[in-house]
Amino acid sequence: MRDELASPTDLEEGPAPAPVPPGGPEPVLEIRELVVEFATGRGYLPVVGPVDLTLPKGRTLGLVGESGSGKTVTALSVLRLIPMPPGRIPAGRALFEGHDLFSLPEKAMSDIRGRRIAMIFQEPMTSLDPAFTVGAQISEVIRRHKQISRRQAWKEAVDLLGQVGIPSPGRRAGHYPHAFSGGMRQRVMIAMAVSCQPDVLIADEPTTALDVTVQAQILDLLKELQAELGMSMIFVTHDLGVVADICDDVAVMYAGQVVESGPAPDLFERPQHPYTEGLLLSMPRLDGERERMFSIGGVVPPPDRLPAGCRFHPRCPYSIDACTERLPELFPAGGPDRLARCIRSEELELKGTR
Amino acid sequence: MNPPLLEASGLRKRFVSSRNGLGLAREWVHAVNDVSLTIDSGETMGVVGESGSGKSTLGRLLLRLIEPDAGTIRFDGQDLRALRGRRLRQSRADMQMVFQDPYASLDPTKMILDSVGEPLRVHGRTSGRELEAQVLELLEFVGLGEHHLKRYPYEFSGGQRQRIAIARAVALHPRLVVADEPVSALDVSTQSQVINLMLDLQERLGVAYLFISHDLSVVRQISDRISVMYVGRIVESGRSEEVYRAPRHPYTAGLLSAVPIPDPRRQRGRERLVLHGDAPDPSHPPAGCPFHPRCPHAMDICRTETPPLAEVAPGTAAACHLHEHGPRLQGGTVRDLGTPTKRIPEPLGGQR
Amino acid sequence: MSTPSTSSSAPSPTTPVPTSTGSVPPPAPEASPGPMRRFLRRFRRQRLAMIALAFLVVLSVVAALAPVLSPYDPAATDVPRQFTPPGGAFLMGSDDLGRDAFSRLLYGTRISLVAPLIALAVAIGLGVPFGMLAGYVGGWIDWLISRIADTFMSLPAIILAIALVAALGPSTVNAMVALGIVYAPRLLRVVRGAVLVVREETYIEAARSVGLSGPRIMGVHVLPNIVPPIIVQLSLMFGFAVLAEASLSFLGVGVQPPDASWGVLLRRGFVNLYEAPWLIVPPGIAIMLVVLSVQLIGDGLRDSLGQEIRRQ
Repeated sequence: MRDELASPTDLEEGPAPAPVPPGGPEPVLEIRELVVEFATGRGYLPVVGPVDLTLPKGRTLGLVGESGSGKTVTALSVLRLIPMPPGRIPAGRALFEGHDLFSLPEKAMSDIRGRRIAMIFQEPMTSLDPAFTVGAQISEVIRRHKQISRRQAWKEAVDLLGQVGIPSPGRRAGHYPHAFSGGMRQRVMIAMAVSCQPDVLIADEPTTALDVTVQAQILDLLKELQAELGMSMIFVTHDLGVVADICDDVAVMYAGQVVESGPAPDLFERPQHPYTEGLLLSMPRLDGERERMFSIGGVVPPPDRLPAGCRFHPRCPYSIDACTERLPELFPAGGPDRLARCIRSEELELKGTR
Repeated sequence: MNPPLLEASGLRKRFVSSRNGLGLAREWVHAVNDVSLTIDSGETMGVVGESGSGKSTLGRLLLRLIEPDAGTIRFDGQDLRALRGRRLRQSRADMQMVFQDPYASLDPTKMILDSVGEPLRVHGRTSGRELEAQVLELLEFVGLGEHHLKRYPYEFSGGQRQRIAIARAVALHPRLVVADEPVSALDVSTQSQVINLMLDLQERLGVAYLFISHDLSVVRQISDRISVMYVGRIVESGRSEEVYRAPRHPYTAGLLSAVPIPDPRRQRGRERLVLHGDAPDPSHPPAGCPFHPRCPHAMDICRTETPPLAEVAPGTAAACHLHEHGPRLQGGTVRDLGTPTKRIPEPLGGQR
Repeated sequence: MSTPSTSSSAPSPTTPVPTSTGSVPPPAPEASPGPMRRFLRRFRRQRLAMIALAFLVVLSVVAALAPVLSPYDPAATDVPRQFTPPGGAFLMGSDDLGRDAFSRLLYGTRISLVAPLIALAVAIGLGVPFGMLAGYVGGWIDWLISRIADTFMSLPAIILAIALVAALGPSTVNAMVALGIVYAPRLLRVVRGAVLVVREETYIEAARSVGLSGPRIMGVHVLPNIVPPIIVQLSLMFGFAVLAEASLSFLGVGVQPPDASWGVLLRRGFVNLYEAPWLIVPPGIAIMLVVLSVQLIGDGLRDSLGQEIRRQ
């Protein structure tokens, strides 16, 4: 595979991420048969589901998909952040530390939010209140979950700001959000999110709106914090490059369901679902050539007009009649911890990055 | 050698960023600061940069959708800045634009037939039945059909709207199309559809592109030559394979390093140069080389003198003192310098 | 990614791209409803507004059929039977000159519904072009037009109308023209505001890049896109104009006798309040109902508007 990016040292492959030891690590979060519906003019319509996901402890799970795949809705539903009308969760469980998050009373849920499971979003401006200094906002989160004095909380907030790479944190803690650039604001949000050392961090496209050089900084920061705090992460994105950079495991979503999952290197090298193959082939690469790109024909079906059988079959170059008959299950395919929602995955040899 | 299709020289544009109590301008943003470039017939020039680089402003300056403060633009040998009124509008038949937001670039009150046919009507090429036939031909060329003619934009997806916008842009068979982030708002699988379409059109019509984007991977797919912009200036330009293979400016190297490759083994094994800090405040750019506060190889001269964009290797230009002053790259790639061991000092970046 | 595919069924990079058909609505109608049609369609679903509209339509029909429906000639006096209470021969009673209040109400509807349209026409004729000019061109033209509009707006509407009528002579048309002049600045503001927003839209920039001239862009691209907020504003203005006409006529500077608008009827009723307290009720209620209907229609229009702005 020709490497266009010069420097022989680039050609060396890095260490593959630590393989999952057989039978473990323990999953810290498990989503089982999640279904999310939204109210439309014609009653409730399922937009996600059923979805099963497993987040092993200490690892990063990438939730990948294009718009309309349901990845953000899935991520928001874990913390029950879906507005309940017009949304609702008629089925499914989110198992965290033996409890089903969906059946917890709201008070218990709000204790978990921020303290045990935290979230960061794409647009920092919408989760930072412009009327308060960043120091005050971080302190507020700390004091919500820990019984410490205001002075103490402020000190911790300043420490956090320094940890996430904001220069002169003592001074900057007294500034308002609008005084920060996009990348800096995202760092502030990350500081807020990790202030109580959560077990799980859910990141919903946190770098999509950032410049690529800033994105690289933020991804490095997240990796550092994860190593330090032993956090597990769910990382929602549409960018396969970001997945390749930061995710240990991947779940690919299409039209509201997971269509493929597994450890990242293996999934990229040997995809087991035609949609994954299509995504990989149609992604422009920095080390690619100037050539016509493959593209997946057609468009993502909206939730109210799903095709019969496999949801991807109208766009799939490998579809056969059997694909229209029934919606396939997620079968084990292609290796340990690999799942794919395709009846032909065994027989097809799909192109990956190898 | 054929004369270039477009020759821009010394372009400058600044915007007011704040005013004093009397309403007089106090601070300026130099969005485009002494930019020169050329585009040959039928080629694709990619312009890459992050936010604040000035690339979008540059695209609009070339079409005179915004008036430059200084500089010259020659299109096909003709001085574009000298045109006024009707002559200027007529010249627009040769240079068209495709915009970033497909949801906003089509008039919602007009049918596709009218939107795509408008350039033809305005420049008096055809009307009535013949117009409809020509519009249909254009639509078919971009992959749409007759049943789309009398529809309104709201019925189309982002990718389709962008194709409609492209059909409109090539309706008059322009010599140059400025595409301002044409695929950034689209999904990955739609992006490649639109890029393929643009490549097809280029083959068919011989149109030249100025392809503006922040996405280096996308630019790679379509550009013959690229220019890298940083805070209003071009810091490097050359044939795209050459720039990607062997960047001659530290910013380019950092930029390339930051773009993740969708291949976990390769991505994690890459030698990376992570640029620290943020892009500078555009109304207070640093003295000397605008990149020096973030540059791992900054020298004393970089703080005081702005490096000119000069040819450092055949066909490649870079605005960096490293080629002339110590360590004296002399046209070699910045990557040869490796990643410095000294800790990059905390920059002032991040402040507004 | 340049290794040729060796597996049996991998798609080649040059597979022709099928036309995406996924999101275009299935078959047949070659044309689809435009934004205006959809706006009206949504409006039709606003219950209260449709009831109000129906009421106004009925009222207009009644006004048109006034000659047929009124039992008496509204100008026919019958002094001996003055101040007859409602009931019997006079459905709503008779006034100080023995004229049938009901007939006068019916005929009055004609004037009270039509006259405000004159005011609206004047307001549109002044407010829309200048508002568009101010909003699109900007600069000192905007400054000048806005300052003039501000000046007119700071004068109390009725006073200005009275002054204008005093200068031009009392008549229905003069009063309505005066009203139109008074309302124009308000409409101008709304138009200018809408133009300022639309001006920044990408499709306007696209129109410039195609080579359209300024005036052409204003007429072809800006105007159709500011119609919805203008319609909303006009519907509200109609209500104000009905009230204003009634007020002016009440004060004696609007509609002149023997023409009878509701405002005139109110006046007669007011003047003869002791002798015939019933006279004041019908016109009062009529005005109230019309203005209320107009408000409801305006609300309905505004609610159907919202979705035009939302994108898919």
